[in-house]
Amino acid sequence: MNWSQEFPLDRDDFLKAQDEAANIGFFADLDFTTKHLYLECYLLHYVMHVRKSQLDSMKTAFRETGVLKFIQGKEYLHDAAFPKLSLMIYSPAIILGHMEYVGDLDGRVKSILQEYIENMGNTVGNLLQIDLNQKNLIHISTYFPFEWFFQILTQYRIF
Amino acid sequence: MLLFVGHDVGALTREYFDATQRALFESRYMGRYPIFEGDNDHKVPSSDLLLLRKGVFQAVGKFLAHSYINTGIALYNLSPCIKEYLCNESDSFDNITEITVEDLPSLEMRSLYEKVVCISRCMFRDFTTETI
Repeated sequence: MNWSQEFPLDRDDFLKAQDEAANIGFFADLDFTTKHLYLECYLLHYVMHVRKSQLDSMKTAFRETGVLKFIQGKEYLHDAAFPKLSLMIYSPAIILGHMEYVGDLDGRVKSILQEYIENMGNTVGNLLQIDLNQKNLIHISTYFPFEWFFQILTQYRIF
Repeated sequence: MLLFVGHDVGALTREYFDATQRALFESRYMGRYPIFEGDNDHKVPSSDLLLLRKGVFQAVGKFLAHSYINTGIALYNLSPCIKEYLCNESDSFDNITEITVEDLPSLEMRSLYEKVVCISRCMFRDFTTETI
């Protein structure tokens, strides 16, 4: 369904549809297989259309930097880990870094970290506190090789 | 003279970009106008035209790109449909497939959408019953 051609958007159309949707009787005369679907699409896409100028401004500036060369081809849009990962690392002079996963950890990240802990043994064990099962919080030593870690994440296409 | 013992592996850079990204989503332009609105992981740009005229979204776009280039982290907290649009070559919404009810920042619109879906499902049930 090409909703944008069949049901062109403008504010008056939207307000009219909003009134009609609020009135149950409106649906009595509708062809079920088409018009209610238009209305659903209409409501969802409206959120984008009223922000088209804002999005285009952001998109133009975003693309001008050439960043798409690095992003395209990666599966970041569909990776569960990516949008939920936030990172906060305090000053390098402070002993502990702090990495927090807001949501569930990706299984691959878990295995990478577990492997790292096992390989490094007690040398790092005292500095690396990891709680994968409860709060999803990972406290990492300043000496933790972040560059290596991010290379691994990139390799696994987590970023 | 302060002597710092430690090895800088880019922590300050990441801290800067992380803190600024949080500020983008949580603070307000000139203390009054939120730049993004909606739920976490479903943030969409504010539709306020003042922010557009002031070039705020142009700055946001540049910032997000530089954040990705320098730290590998960007775009989190944004709605998936916004991410898809930003990274899509096309300027059309026709190929955007991930818009969901969670992307509607207004509770009023969410309520309306759910009402439409509910009514549609009720009608579909009646329709199939009658057909059978």
